[in-house]
Amino acid sequence: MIADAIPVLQAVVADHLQANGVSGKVELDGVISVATPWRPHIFVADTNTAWQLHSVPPDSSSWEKRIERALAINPKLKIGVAAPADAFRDVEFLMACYRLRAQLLLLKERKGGFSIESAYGSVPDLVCERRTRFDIGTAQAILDLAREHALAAKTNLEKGVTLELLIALMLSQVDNFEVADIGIANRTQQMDVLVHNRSVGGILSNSSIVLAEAKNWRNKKVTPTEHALFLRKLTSRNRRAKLGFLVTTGSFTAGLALEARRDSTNDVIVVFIDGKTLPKIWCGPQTITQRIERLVIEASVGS
Amino acid sequence: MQATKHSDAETVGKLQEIPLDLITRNEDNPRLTFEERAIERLAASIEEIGLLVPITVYHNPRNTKTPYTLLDGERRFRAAKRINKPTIPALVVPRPSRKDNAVRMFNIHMLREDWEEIETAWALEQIMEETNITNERELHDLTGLSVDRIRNMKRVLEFPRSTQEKVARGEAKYQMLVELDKNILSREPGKTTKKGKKPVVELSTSQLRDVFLKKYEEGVESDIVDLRRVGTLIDTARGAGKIAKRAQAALTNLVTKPQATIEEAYEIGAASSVELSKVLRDLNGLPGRVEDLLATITEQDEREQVAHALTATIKRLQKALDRSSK
Repeated sequence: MIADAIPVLQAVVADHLQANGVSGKVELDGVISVATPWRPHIFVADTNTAWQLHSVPPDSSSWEKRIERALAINPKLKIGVAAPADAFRDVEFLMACYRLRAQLLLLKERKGGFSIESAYGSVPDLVCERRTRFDIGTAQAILDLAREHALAAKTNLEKGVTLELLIALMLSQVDNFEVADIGIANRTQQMDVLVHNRSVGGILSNSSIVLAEAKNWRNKKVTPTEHALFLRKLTSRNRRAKLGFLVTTGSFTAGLALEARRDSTNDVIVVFIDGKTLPKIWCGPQTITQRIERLVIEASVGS
Repeated sequence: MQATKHSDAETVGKLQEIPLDLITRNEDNPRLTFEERAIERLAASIEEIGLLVPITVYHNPRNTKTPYTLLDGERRFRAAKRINKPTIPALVVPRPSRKDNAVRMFNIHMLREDWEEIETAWALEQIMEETNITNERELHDLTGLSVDRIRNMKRVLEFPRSTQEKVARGEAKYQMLVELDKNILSREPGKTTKKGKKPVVELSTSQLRDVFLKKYEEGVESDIVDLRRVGTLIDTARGAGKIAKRAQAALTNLVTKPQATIEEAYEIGAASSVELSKVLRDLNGLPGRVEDLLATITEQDEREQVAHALTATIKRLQKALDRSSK
């Protein structure tokens, strides 16, 4: 244990931010504004990012409430949380970071100091990349929170990103699914979530790559056009992507799923998940894997 | 309370609201452990009910950026900063002399329970430097620490600062340094004694220190109390005859081989001689104890009990002697 860890952490995180090209002055104990009831350990005014540092997992939520009050005054403030990697195993702490939509720095303690182990843009990024598996109760709580974020999103960019993260989080909890990329784009296509599927045997095992496309459209229906575009993306993946999830927070045009199944001429399966079905995937008595399997069966043969 | 204007005449001796950014921490504060969760709890409490106890500062107008220096309340200061309080209630007192400052910081912090022993030792060191007092009795009068505790602290302060810092970080035990010094280093086994007895190991005191620190750091040793056995081994090696030579060989093996353990060295070099001295002490004392007992008991059957036990003991001892002489 480092006797007076915060100044040590401040120096390590500030160095990391500067080394990673953060523009503007990295200020230790910087003031966001006089009226803000929180003085972050590090504040970068140019990017409006405030950092909360922990050398040990906190044993209360007062820090989170303080930051929430600061966010109520400064809604555009971006939050970063740095803590030892082990601290993020604590679900309460992880959820707090997610509620604050914080970017994360995971630290490694070494003799007399800390070093940066890894950096993540968000909690879902951490969950997917570190292949964190939750028990069903925790998975439900974190997915509910992710859905809240997606439904509360205001700008188009925010709507897209939050829903992508929700879908990535959900698929990361399916047995043998490894989320490889979120929000990827190449010159011709944009894909929301790409999963490496390690399943051997069973209904999920016929596709080594699984793709998901998410539409945060509550006032607009997903039409056959989007379905056709998605099918093209699936089939252009060297025939390895034979399973895809087309997700919307709203609904599909009437009969789309049925028509798609009837018109299907190849072995590619598209699972249609609308806004009503989505929360049921994690909120039932079955596991997320069982619900996904069920949806895939329904998409192949009809319910 | 008004936000402060800082001229000495106006500020000293008053309770004021001072902007946090005008305050600097006291470099003489020997407390080095600031438990993050405790500061967070304090911050939450200040948010809820305010800051009930003012901090204490002195005015140092020569420092134009931060003209107030903390004397007491660094945790409150840090907690207030975290919740972005613009000002903090502070009692401004006259600037203490360096000696007064050191003793004051010491006494303030000794009232707190969660001070680590190594921090107390560092604070004591500071007092010794500021006051030039090294006498344990006088230091006891000044600080209220027991003479034994002061003596142990002085032992620990003899170690290199890097070793002391390991204690502060929890990588070495404070009591291990005390026992190491008490049982080994202060016996100076690498030097000729005042009575002219030759060194029993060919290592300097600092080399010996490093050898034993390494054994504990690398997990070859774990029990601190075992260091007392090395003290016995040194004393035995300082003696005469074959026993001393055996002890010296065991000691040399212990300090030159990184994996050699105290337990092995003690068994080879000192255990039998320690047992011998215990048995001799018991045998020498036994006749006197029996005489005293016989002088006090009057009952015939009790006297017979003693006589019977003695006869049996003499027979057993004679048998043991006969066996060993064969």
